[in-house]
Amino acid sequence: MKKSKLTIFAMLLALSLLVSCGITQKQATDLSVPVTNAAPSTGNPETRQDFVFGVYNFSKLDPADSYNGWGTIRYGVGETLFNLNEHLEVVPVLVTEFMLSEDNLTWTLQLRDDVTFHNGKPMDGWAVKASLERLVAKNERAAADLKLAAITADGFSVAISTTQPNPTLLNSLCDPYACIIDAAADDGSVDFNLYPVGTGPYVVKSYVEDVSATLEPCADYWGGTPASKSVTVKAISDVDTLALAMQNGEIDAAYGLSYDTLNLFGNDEQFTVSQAATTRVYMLFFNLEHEFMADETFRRAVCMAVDKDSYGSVLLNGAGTPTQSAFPAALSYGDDSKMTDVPDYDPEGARILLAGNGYKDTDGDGFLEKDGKKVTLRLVTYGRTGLPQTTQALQSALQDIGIAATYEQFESIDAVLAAGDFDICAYAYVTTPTGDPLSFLSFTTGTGNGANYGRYSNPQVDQLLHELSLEFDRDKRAARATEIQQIVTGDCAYSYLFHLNMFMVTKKGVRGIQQSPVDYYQITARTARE
Amino acid sequence: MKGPVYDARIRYTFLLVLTLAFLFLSILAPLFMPNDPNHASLSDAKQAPSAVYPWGTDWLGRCVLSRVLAGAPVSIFSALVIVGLTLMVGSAVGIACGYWGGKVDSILMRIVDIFLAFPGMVLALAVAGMLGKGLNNAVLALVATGWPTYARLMRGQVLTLKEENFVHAAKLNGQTTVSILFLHILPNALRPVVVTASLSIGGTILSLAGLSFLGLGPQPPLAEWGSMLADGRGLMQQHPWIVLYPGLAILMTSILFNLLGDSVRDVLDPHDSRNLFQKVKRKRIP
Repeated sequence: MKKSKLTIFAMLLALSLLVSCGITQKQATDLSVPVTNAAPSTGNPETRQDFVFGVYNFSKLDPADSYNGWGTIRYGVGETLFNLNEHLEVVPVLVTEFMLSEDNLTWTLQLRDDVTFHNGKPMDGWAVKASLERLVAKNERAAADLKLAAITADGFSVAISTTQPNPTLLNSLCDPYACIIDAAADDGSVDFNLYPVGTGPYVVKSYVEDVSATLEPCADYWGGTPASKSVTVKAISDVDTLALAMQNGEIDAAYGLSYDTLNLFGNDEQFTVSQAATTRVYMLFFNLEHEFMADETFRRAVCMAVDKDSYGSVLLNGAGTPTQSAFPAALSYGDDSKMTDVPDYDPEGARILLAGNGYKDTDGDGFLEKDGKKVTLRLVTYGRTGLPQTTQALQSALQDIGIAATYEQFESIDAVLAAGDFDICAYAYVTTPTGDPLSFLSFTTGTGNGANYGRYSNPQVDQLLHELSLEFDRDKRAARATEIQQIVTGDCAYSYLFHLNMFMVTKKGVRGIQQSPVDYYQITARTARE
Repeated sequence: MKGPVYDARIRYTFLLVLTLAFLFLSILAPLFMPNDPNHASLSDAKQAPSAVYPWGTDWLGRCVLSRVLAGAPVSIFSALVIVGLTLMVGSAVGIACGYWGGKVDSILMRIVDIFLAFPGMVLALAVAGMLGKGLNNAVLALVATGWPTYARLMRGQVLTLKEENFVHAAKLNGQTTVSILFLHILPNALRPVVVTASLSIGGTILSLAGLSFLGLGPQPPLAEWGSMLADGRGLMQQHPWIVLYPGLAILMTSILFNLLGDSVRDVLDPHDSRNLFQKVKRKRIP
């Protein structure tokens, strides 16, 4: 008995003396990613394997319902008429030809004639018309983006008219909400949010909410036989569990892993890490209606406390590219160098700025007061990997310049934002889901718009947004978008921190699934394990 | 004076001194911190143990040793407060039920039954979830779910004691209810309750760490062992020191309090007439 106790103590002692295990940084980077869903498949029915895909954000599948279309596309159940390529340019998928009328009001699309829905019905003009009409009836965001006036179908062609010239119609048709489904199949016999009827390579066989979905290959998929015998999408919302599931071989690919695991998988022969720059920006919403945040100088000081470089390199383990703009530098409207009025990281400067504007520590507690009132900010965020870390780092940085801040993390942040119950919110936003800047800029900076949670309002920005919504010329669009951002960042209404280089881990020997620059292309007809 | 009782007393004294020293040190712990426990320095993040940071740094570049030390009073004294409060609340309810009985007794004991029917941690999670995050609410949640054990125990003691002759005698003497309860019943009923309380300190430290591991305890940047574990669990494979030391702190502390609880039981064992508290044996009227 005595001896075993001694042994235990010896082991504890040995543990406590444990020192670091050297870990070298190595990241597999692969930016050349094919993004089309419609790549020819190589499935051989004899040798096909089951494929298991672990995801941290499992979603339902009716594309018209909020953001569920992301799941429909990600899991290979549905497809959109057009896709975005790696440069975020629109390329036709279910369409062979498309043209715009002289008056810029009507797009005519010639559809592929070999595409069928999972229930065998051909995807003709009437089906596309029904799908889009169902979409705008159910989804406000889609209705606002598409601005449909009328759709006329004739055989395999469809003519889409808009209420005003809509330069981003084709981009909006790439949005996952515009996934083409058989609207007639939504007759109430099954829950369409779990069992949608699309045109993708895989059909939902069984769906257990918040647990998993089992998908079967669609036998007469227009792009050829899908390469896997079945696909199981597993919901693993805890990112550490997800990493362990990947390590013990339970899943063949993992999406949504913590950035801390980049080295873990990057250094391991058994895994392949694919990484791609995406348009997901980590940003700060400032509540311009709250006492201190309403002061532009104060916001400027807050911006000066933000160490974007370190957040990207340390908190995100090198997966964050610091930015001044909401859009990646690779895009014509994401040129960092034009954002001249964005304050640099300068905590000392922030202190001086605050001191010069009446923010003083009058009661000697180490925190600032203004007119006798203590400055306290409420920082909020939600669980997406990197956000809690960023927010806590910001909390610490604010305390360093004398601003007291509380931190709270929510399961779902939207209600908190909509209620305006925050001073600063760290948020991860996909700014160009459809390859165009208008939607993001309008939503977040237009007076009274849906995602303008900080209640920013600037008539000049509103005017430019209106011009942007009507402009067809690409260069002029880019110039307008840049100008809007210059004004918004100059007003310190938002702070854009860094763009995310997302990554996906797959087992060695898995092909046809990689991290795409467009975050919603994942399972395709080619996805398979050898 | 050799024998099992002597051994138990030696062990008890040793552990008590050790525990008191430990408590004293944990009050002083913040004075020994090599660095500011809440100071984030991203350039020093995830560093292995070194001279500057003896136990390494966490993901935000904070000194792990300093945070473990800063967390010591939070974790340990919160646990002591929880045990003290549960003991008081539970004992009060138990005494009332046992002494007066009747409808109040039936109702309160059914409530106790309901509480005891649920696994403690699950109930604590539900209560903490309703109250919201924060150290105070976590303490409240554990008190709210811990008292029924003591209530039941105390009620049983009081039920036996109130039929003892010395209690009847006190009543005949015209003593007030309060003095009967506090002078005659409470001192005699306290022993098993104290044993249970001392045995539960270790478990309470674990429960509190558990709640804050699940995000319901103290909110960042306040250092607490359970939340330090939760923060670092994603880095366990790459940077083990971030979770190792807070984990060891929890382990050692709960082992120490469990051993102390064990030895308190040994010396207070009511079946052994030669125990330490011989002199305060039941008061009997000649």
